[in-house]
Amino acid sequence: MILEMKDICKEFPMGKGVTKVLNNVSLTVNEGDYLAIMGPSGSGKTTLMNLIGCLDTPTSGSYILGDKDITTCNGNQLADVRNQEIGFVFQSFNLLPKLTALDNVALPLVYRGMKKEDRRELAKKALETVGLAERVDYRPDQLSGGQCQRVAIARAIVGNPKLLLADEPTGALDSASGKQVMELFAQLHENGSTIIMITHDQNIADYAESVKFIKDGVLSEGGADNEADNE
Amino acid sequence: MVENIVLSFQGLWSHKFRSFLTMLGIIIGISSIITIVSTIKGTNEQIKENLIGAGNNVVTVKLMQDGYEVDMQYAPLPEGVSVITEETRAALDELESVEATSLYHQRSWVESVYYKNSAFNGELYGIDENYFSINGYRLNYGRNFLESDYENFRKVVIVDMKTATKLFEGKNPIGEVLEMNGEPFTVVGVVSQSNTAEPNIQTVEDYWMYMDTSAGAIFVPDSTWPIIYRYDEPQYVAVQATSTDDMTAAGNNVAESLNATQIQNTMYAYKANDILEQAAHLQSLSESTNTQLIWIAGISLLVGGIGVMNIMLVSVTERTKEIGLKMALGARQKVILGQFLTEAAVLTSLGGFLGVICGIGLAQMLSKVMGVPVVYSIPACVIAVVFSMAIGIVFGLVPAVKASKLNPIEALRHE
Repeated sequence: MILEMKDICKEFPMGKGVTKVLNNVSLTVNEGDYLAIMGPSGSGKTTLMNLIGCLDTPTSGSYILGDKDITTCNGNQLADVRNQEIGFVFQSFNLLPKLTALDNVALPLVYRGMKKEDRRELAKKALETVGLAERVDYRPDQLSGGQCQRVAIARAIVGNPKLLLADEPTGALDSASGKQVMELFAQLHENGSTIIMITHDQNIADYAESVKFIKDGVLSEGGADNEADNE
Repeated sequence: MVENIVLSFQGLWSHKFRSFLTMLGIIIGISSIITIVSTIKGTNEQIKENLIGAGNNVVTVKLMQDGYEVDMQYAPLPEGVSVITEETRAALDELESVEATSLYHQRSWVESVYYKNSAFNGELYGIDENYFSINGYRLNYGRNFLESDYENFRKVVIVDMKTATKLFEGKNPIGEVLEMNGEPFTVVGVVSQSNTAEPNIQTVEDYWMYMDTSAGAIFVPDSTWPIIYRYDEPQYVAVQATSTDDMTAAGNNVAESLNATQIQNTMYAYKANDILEQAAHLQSLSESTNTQLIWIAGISLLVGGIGVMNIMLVSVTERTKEIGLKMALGARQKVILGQFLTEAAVLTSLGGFLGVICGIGLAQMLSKVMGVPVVYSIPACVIAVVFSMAIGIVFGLVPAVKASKLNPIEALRHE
């Protein structure tokens, strides 16, 4: 087991009261799982992703990632967890425009205090894995959208994290590039990566082994009813 | 750290014009300070040089009464003060920091010396054999005093160049006779001080001013002084120190030794005329006016610092998304803080460095165009750059803290 969430609630202050965005969410992910979480906008899936990604902490409930109790971590510890245990893939790539593909990929390793040569070595390997060995010195503006997202995936896997967390990874791509990216995820999954993907697109969710649905802050198992609700 | 600095340079380079404008306040402030400091230092060196003379390292030791100079002219030695003999003087040469000593009598603005019908107005010295060498005089023509001149009380006189030109109106003075208190003295030589500071004469008016205000000098063997005046007039001691820095010590050593051996009356004491102290006094005067200028220049540094803070705040806002991403990828708060502080410090240090270069250039220009003396101080330059760096850190702190406190989720969502 890599990830275990139990009875997670998340409330946000709203005016004078509070809004409960997540309501008793429980989730277990095992090593090698490939899970898609689907839900319409406003369903709480971004909040759930932020919690899984340790960008935020829950109001109540317990969250164990690997062997760490995330709910008791402070800001610096959360930063270390994000750095070492999680690889993020964002919808809009979030590459730094002034850095080359190689430096973008090596960025998370900087925060591990790794030596420059070692960082470049690992970053090169990660770029090879995503099929961009020839593009190491290109800057994001010299790459296509699909290539940018593959650089972002290389950045997510460079530190060998326990969990890959992808937020609408094909949302900004045309269907051909999106397909390439999804095939890349499938390949990573075959090689043993644990992947959680947030999406509202059924076609994308179909790449996953299992699908869960979130609606109004409640997470439920995949099923035709829920699917129908979403449509 | 090195990597951070390199990254900061790249960041600044990518916004060249903005970086330059931000640095401008620092550049102006630092360059004014460097210019002022250079001219202060130049003036101070000049004051010291003018007072000390160009390297003879001579201090005068005089007799003082209750802290005031005894009028050495037309007065006998006071009771309880002995004449300094040649043996006593020779002993002074052995004191620490003392290279050589010379005894002499001196009168200013003498009125009893005539050449034909013209009166000599200037300094009259009764000197021993060391005087010329210690004070850096060289013989222009004629001859120096001989041992026999001293032994036989010969009435001979040596004049300096100025007296030769003024009193003898350009004629060769050798062999001419001066009347001193009614006694005839024959001119045997002309000397000039080889290494006095050159007067700054640029116009005819300057020249006349110089000629009127600086008196000529004539010298007689000190053994003939009693022929003109009294025997037991107080003596000055010219003390040549082993180095410029030893001048104070040499003067004090001689004064102490003389007080111990020559003085029986506590009202009197020999005291060294401390030129270094006088120089320090004059220097502090020039420094205090310039210190105020430094404060004014400091205000522009303050303004520059505020400019840096402003631009760093803009930079934090512009790069909110980048900050969010870095946080998501695991950058701790202090990494973000360090990044922005380094950037601010690199920006202002570079400004300081350019300011130092501009300041040196400006000082160079002042010295060329206006003849202001300029001496560069390497410590001042180093301090200026370090101080600029400190400004960057102080004024970069608010933006850097702001950046490090950003919420990663909101920062990532920022467009």
